[in-house]
Amino acid sequence: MWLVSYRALYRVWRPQTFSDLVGQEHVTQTLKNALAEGHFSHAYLFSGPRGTGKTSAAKIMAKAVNCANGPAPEPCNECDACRKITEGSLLDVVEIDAASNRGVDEIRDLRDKVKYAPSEVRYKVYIVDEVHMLTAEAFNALLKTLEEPPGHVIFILATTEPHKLPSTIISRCQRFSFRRIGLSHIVARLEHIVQSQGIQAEKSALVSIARAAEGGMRDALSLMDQVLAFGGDQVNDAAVLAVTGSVSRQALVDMLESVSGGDAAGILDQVDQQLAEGMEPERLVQDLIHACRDLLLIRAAPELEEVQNRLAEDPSWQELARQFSPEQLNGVLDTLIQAQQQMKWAAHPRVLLEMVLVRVCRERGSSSEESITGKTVDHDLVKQLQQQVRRLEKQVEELSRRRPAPAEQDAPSRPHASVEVPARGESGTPTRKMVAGMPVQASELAAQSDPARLKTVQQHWPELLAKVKERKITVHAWLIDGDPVAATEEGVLVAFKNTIHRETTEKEANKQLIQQVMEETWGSPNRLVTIMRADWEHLQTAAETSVAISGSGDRNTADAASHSAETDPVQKAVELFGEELVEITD
Amino acid sequence: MSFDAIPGQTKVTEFLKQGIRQRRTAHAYCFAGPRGVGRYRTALELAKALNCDAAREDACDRCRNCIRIENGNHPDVWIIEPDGQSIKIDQVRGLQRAFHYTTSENTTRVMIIQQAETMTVQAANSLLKFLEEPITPMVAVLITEHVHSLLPTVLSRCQVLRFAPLAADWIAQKLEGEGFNTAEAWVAAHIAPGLDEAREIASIDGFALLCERVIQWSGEIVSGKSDALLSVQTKWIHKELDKERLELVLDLMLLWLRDLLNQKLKRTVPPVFLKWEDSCRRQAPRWSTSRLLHGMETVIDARRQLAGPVQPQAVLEFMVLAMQGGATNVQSRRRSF
Repeated sequence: MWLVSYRALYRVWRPQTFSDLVGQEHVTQTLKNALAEGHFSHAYLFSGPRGTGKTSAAKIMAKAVNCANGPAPEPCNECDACRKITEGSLLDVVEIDAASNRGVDEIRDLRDKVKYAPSEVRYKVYIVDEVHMLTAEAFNALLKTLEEPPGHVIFILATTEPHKLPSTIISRCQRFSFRRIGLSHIVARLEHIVQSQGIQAEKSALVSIARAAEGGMRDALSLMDQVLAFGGDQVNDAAVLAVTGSVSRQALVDMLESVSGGDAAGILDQVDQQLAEGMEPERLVQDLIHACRDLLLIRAAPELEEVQNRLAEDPSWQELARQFSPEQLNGVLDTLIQAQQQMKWAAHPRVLLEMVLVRVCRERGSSSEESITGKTVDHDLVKQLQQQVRRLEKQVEELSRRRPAPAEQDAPSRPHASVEVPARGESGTPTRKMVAGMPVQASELAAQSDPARLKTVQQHWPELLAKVKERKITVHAWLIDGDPVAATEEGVLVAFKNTIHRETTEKEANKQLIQQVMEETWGSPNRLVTIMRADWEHLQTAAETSVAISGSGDRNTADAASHSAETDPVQKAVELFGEELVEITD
Repeated sequence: MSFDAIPGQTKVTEFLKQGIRQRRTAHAYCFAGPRGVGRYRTALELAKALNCDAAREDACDRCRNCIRIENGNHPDVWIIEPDGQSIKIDQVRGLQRAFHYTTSENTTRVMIIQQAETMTVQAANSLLKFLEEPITPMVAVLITEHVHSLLPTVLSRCQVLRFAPLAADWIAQKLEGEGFNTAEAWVAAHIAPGLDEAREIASIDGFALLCERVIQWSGEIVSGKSDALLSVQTKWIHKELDKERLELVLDLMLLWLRDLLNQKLKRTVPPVFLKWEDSCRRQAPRWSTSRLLHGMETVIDARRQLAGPVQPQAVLEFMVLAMQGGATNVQSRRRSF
């Protein structure tokens, strides 16, 4: 039969002297000095996050004041008193679990016993752990005793949540705040333990453990235990990754590369693969956050010690860091951190993860268009400008070929329209006027229609509608009636079912707005040409033999037409509620 | 039963076995993972293996101890479950009192706390000292769905073992073997983390119809017509679906949107809604990617609100409005006078 005789590392390696208590020099130094000079207080309060050494410090303190060779700055750990305290068998050092004994009765009991002198050692030490769980009455019952205890008594209160303590308690104690333990301290301590246990360990593996522990020594040792149980007496990267469930550095590099390339499908495939290997979505997000932080450090503070030590050797990280600007990294981090919060409670963390990654990829894509800093961005902008110039040149050429007269006649109220264009960085005004002047434009456009282009246009159409809606909701309401049926690089032909919709869309202001949005969406100026659906069908049957136009788009829109006919909301409302109840006010 | 009979959790069970082999079993574990993936079963197996007369790394299932644990009447295996809504401090105190007495030789006490996240603050805190330095040989197993809602101080005293959701194809295969329709089994396997729950979902009357309705509804939502709002009433609320069923509807919606997203990104993974692949291809062009993402977020929000004390109809209607272009954008058709 098995016995659990194994003691967890964090119990075996509980610090026994102040110098063992790493990362808390501000506390230990003060205590040591107080002990050396012999004036210590009768009440201490140790507060700080989990696993930083509060209870350990309390026990060391109890030993130091009672040590047969003391009171000295450090306990000897050899005398009778020290050994008995370590074992927990000395009656004069009382460790109280305040969370289980939290009532006023327990405290009264304690108060009654306080007055008896210690039996074996110099001081009676009461260690009250988890003191924040005492009830309000219990705290108040403790006040008088805490303020003026008999000379042979020392109280040490320990808690993770000092804010829950009444201020009257805090003001009666000397307070020591324990800090989270720094990465290097944890690593050093782990190395020490590993060496004295005779275990093989890789340095990078210990760093990963220390990282995952987030400043708690107990967490670090728990993890270490787990790693040892997993991999035998071997501490290596693979075992640590398996226990903490982290993603390998290489996988992270691959994923971030996809992000920098804006490759949403690629990153989702990688996630699929990671999850199939048993990775957890939450862990993945956390690792990505850490990775982005590293990249940010490389970018923003390359001379930092941490960067020099840990990240400088890895060329792939340096390379990756160059692909992002600090602002972009900030954006990615924001999104990821927000997702991490949401993920804690989500029913489908995996879907959430996928969403976030797609969003990050897209943000990365769009931000490069918007911001004006960074190399890649400039490149895009230049390309865009080149396109625009080429288009303008073509327009000028066209204009000069045709007689300029009709254009001027067409718009006598705004003679400087063509001058306005380059100045505002927008286009479309002159082209549109040309179009308006020529009714044949629609058939021309239909004839030149490029099926591939049409497909992209159709794909981006909902996006365009949404953008229009943001600008002006009424224009959206008119435009939604139409469907793109033909498209070239320069223009889009939209077919409408209703005359009124078409006519309103054709209005100067509306059309201009739509063309502006088109330009933003596709990055190049586009004409909007409209046509009635009936005309379009007519045109299509006429041109069927000569022009091959993407049929699928047509079928799609026809579908939509029949769909909308059968689901007119007014009709449906009448059906459901009866004619008398329905009032149409539009 | 033994460790090997727990499906899909070899990582965890191998780890525990290794721990027993090397005598490195910790005194406190936290089993974290979704429902129905075998967390409780694993805890029981651990208790058996630790107390088995055969003294191997796995339970023999024949000795007295194994049988007693299996049947739930071993005196040294304690199981704590929420008393009503939460685990109270008195339950933990009772346990500590019981564990104060020494036990018969060679026994490892095991305490299993179900739904550990429901422990009250007092109960969790009173467990701290006890977990850190147990008096008798014992192993504590905290079972939880939300590892984040445990106190960090509790968590730092445990070794956390994560249980992964079972693989969807494995569940689907099992369900198919039990005679469920392939397409329905596939959807159910994606929604539920464990086999039992997936089976329950797949055996709902008219599950396929439910899927179809969800798809139709999403079509109505994307078209921007007010029918989608009407459907909230006619399709879901009117049918007096209970909360659980509505949650299922939202889960289906979320997975459907995910299918659309995959389609939009031109990924080659098999869709969750296999049978409805055509509808997916038809509906995808009507969504823009940013709208899909926004929609999914809205569904997730709605799913969370549904768990709270809000009228389900209000939640669904709000969701529809938000998906159709932001609830703040919704304008009345009635003109102001």
